Amino acid sequence: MSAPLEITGLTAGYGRTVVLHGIDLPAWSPGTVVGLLGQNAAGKSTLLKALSGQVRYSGEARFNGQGLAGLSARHRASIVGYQPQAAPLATGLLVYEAALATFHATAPDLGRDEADRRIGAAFSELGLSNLALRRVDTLSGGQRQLLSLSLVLARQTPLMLLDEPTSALDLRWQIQTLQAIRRAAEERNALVLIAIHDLNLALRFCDEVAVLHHGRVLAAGPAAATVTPDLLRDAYGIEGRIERCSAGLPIVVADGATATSPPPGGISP
Amino acid sequence: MMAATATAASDASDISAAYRRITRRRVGLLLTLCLALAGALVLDVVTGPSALTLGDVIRGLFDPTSLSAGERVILWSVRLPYALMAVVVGASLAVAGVETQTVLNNPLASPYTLGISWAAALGAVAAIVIGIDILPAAIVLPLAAFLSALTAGLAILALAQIFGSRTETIILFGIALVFACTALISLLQFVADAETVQQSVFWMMGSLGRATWEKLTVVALVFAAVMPFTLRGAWSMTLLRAGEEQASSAGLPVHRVRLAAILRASLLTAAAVSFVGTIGFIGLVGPHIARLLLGEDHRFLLPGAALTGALLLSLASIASKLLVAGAIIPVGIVTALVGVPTFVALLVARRRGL
Repeated sequence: MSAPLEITGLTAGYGRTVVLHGIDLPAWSPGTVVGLLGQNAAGKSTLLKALSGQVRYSGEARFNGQGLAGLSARHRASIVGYQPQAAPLATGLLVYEAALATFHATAPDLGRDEADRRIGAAFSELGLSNLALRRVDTLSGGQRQLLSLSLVLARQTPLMLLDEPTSALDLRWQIQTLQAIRRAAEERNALVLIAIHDLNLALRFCDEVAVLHHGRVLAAGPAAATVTPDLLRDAYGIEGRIERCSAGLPIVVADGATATSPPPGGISP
Repeated sequence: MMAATATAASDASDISAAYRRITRRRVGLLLTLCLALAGALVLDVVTGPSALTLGDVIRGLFDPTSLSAGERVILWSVRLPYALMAVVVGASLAVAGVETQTVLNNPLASPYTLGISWAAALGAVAAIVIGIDILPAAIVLPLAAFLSALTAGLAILALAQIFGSRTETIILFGIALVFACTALISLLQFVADAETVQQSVFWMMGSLGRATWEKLTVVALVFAAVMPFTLRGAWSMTLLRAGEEQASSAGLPVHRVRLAAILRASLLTAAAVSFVGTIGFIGLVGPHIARLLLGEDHRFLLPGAALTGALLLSLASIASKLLVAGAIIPVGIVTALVGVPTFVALLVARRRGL
């Protein structure tokens, strides 16, 4: 199958601050879940924002041969589902209204029944059905993060870009959420890019990883083969080991920071 | 897998059915507001220094010849345009308030935040002080106020287009405009004579007493022309309440939606304040009352705000005629006196879960 997403020489940033320096990424197949790894400010969120049209970029980013930069907001949204790092605002909007408005405002041709079916499926998958008629400002941070992800899952786009979708979730929902994301990728043959800090979750749920460092690609490849002690040292500035648990799953054990740890949030000049 | 699909389908229909019940309740609330407004409108027409009974008013509406010439003039040239102007201006200001609060994501925003009301005041005060007399004052003042307010609205739009439409940027432009307008108003008043200053201060107090059928028609036409666009953008505005990032990530062209909403709010505010002067509070509190009653779904919130704004100004209009026997206090002074207790009562009721 042809690679849907092609990224070559992509440069992006904010004003005069360049965050991504002409990066190339591998051509992942549809149905693949890709973990974007790297320390804070490595460029993970900026990459997702660039691909989803939130930040301008130069270079090439094509999906199924179509350049993402030139698309209208609505057309891009039919292809790209982006979950921003920030959860929905805590307002008096009802949870169900947030989902309904997403469809009516951006995909009015879909029809109310189909929108309801998709919202119901996404809410059911992420445990939001009982919260559907609650005001968003009464939800916890984790529940609002689940709502944000449900809005992306419900839209059923062939490319999903998820910015730390599990950062506010408890252990159970971290697992359930990533399982739901995997299922969505497999059932709909969608390509999923997840910015994630938890390396153990990345090793368990991602097929591939791309590691960013100071706005450049440090490594990319199958998750288990790419996350190595050397990578931990180079990308995160930690001494660590990759062990196997009794079930054979790889586990990252961090022993401590290296003497020459990169500063947190350091962007190369 | 089959079981999960069935559960999801049942969840979807349960949620949809429960939401339909909420929707029906909201429609009921809108109808109740309509009835309350109709009642307030009748009361407003009946209230006044001249003794016209409810019977006289009803008779006079259907058969004007049944009233004396004086009563006819009072009903048709004073009371009715006065009362209907309160309805249209209140609705315009409250809808403009919802639009600005939503697109700026700021509960303190109102038509005043963007400086449009103050720009209208500047236009009117300038016309009074400079004394443009090529046309009658009844035409010059609202025309100057409208042009000035519209210029301010377009200036905000142009600045947002050039420097970006981030909410903080627009609010800062608005605040800068407010300060610029108030400084210029003070300057004009400083150089003017005492009588002109008094005239300009009175204009700024806001009064429905300037209402005529012609002015009412203009404000109503602007409202009627803007509202279809406002209602068509209801889902976009609802989505914006989930946050700019969420809306934008879902494919909403936030910049365009924001500029269009500001344009609509500018038009509504400019038309409303140009004819009756600066009436505060309605554009701030009308939307909040509607929100407390109807929630954030703008399909209900926007018409709800129009009704609460109209109702508030109607009640203020009645109060302005009753507070001091034999005198009509400028309605701009009364709006806060009526609006604050209403708003506090609603807040208390909501906190108690009533």
